[in-house]
Amino acid sequence: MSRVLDWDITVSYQWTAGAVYGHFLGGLKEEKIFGVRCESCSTVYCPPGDVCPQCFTDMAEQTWLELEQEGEVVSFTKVMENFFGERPSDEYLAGRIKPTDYSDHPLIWPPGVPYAMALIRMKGADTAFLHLVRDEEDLKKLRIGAKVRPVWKQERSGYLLDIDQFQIIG
Amino acid sequence: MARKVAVVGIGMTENKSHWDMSIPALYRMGASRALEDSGLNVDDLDAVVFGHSPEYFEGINHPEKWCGEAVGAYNKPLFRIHTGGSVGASAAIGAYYMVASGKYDVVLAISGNKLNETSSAQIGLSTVYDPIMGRQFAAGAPSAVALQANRYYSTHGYSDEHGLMVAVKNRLNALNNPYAQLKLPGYTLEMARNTPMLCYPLRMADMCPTSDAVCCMIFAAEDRVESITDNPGWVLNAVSTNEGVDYVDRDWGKPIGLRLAADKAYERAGIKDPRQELDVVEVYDAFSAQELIWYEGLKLCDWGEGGSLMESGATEMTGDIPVNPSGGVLSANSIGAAAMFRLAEAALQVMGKADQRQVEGARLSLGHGWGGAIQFHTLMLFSKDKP
Amino acid sequence: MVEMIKKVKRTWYVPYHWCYGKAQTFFFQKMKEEKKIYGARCSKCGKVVVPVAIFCTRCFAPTDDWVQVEDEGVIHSFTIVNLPYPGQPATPPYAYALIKLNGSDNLFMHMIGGVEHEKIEIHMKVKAVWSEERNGDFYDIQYFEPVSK
Repeated sequence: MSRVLDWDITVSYQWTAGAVYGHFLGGLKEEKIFGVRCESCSTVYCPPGDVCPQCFTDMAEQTWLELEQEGEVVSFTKVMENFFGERPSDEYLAGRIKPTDYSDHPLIWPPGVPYAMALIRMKGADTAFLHLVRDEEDLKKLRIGAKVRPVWKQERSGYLLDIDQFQIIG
Repeated sequence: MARKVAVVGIGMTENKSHWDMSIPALYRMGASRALEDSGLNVDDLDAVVFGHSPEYFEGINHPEKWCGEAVGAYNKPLFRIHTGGSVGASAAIGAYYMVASGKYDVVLAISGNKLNETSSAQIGLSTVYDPIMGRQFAAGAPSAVALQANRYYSTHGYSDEHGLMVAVKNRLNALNNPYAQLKLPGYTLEMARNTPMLCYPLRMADMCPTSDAVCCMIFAAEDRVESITDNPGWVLNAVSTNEGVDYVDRDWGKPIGLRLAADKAYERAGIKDPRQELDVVEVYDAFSAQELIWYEGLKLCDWGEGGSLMESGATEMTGDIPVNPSGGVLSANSIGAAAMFRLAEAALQVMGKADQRQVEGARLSLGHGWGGAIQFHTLMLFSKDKP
Repeated sequence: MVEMIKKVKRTWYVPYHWCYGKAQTFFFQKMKEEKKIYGARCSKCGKVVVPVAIFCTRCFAPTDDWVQVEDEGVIHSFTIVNLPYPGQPATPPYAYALIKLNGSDNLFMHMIGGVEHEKIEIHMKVKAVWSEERNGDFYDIQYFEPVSK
């Protein structure tokens, strides 16, 4: 019988957001969703990245647009079981840490299954945005083509989960 | 029969803490500088080889997923290579083989890291050791190389003084390199000696800095080279090896793997006396003592003569076999890009584009990469003349 | 103009579960239960590698013959670590070495203790000092100390 070594590796990171992500996340903090339009091909990216894949342009130098807070579900999947490595931390469940406390806590995740991961194309954008739909009633109504809007957290820090989830509006 | 291949474009970012650039943005900077240097655009590329060293440095387990488009790989083949600190050179070798094989005409090789994204680059280095046998002593890189250096000095009657000579040479050479991180004007042996002993026999002066950087090289096939540039750096050949870490009868001060790789490289290029025939060499000196050891592995001198070669002044800019005109890894270490910088610097020398660090009339050069828990070696030979 | 977010911070906490395999399970069992160090003899070159492995890294040949080696040997190289970083086995300064154990043909990494750092030398003969409490890991040996003449 082979012996097994159980070991946790804990490492802290501080990723540089840079010009493009920094701007986008700054927008989320103020309840704004930005897209960026590549002036070479006119594709509007939301969420934006540093480089337009088609044209190789530097997206930091392209046009920033504030998008309407409405989107359409392009695809989705419902997660029925928590999978290994993904669990709400005890601290979070016990309410001892606030939802915006992302910096030093292990594996914080919205609590409880089921929830849905959805690819959402914001109005005015040509690419899709990965986020969550969690409301029980919404999960029953969720379909491709559903119209959704973001539900913002009270306290935001410039992080993707400043949007708590997307809610179906039509 | 392999096709002839040349380097047609080189792009480098500065080695420093790029606090205002994300990882993909930094990669893009390296790629776009190389494209600009060659006059090519992304559509001219047939494939991309992407290098990046241990994922724990940035905690992104699949960096080529995030950065693929940032290096021009949109609807193109993209291959990831990872060989520890030698990854920059392995990525270049990968691209070279792809073109030499006849399957691809123009391939971009790019490699880099942002070591400043983590609280401790040492955790990245400690976790390269396996968890069952290797991690107990958190060896990291400095202490593993310290074992190598100590054995080397002891066997041949040298001391850390010889390592410090290398440190001074390279720190002063770096003053001519706009991409180097550590620039110490007026640096002397005395100043180097006064730095703390961190891992006996290595002092702080013997160690490299922690950088964020990306380096990029574009390789093209013979029949495309002329239409791209009239000043290519021809690749004579490339060799790589994994010496092995814990094999029977290993002498940690003697890099037999490197010697075997060098012999192969020289034989294929028809080089009988590397000391005489090579004009300039760029070696991977993450720690100063290693440069002395690599002199021997690369046959710039006999076994046991590395320290003496340094003492003689032959490897200074004014000597007959300058080593590391760029300042080497001792002056700039992003790990991911460091080995490609060695190859790129060697190529720049034969292309006559090394500016202030140019060795006059260089026509034949060697770039060396090293990595792993001291076992990977990579070599590429460049020539001004078409082989 | 919105605020530019500079950094995204996160701590990764990743639990792992590594299999030792039969060779290393055996190796640590012998350390723990019998205070013995075992190696494996290569079927091709006849040399002994420590710790026990299932193949010789030089020959790529099987090493089914598991043999005991001495817990005494000679220092091949050593270093004294002054640099602090996470996960260290001791607070710096501490010494560790590559040791050629008698009866083996490769190098064994472990700590050096029971001697002033300035007195440690390459080629020094050293012997294991075993821990009273052993859990089947490298710390079953506290360190190697010089063999007194």
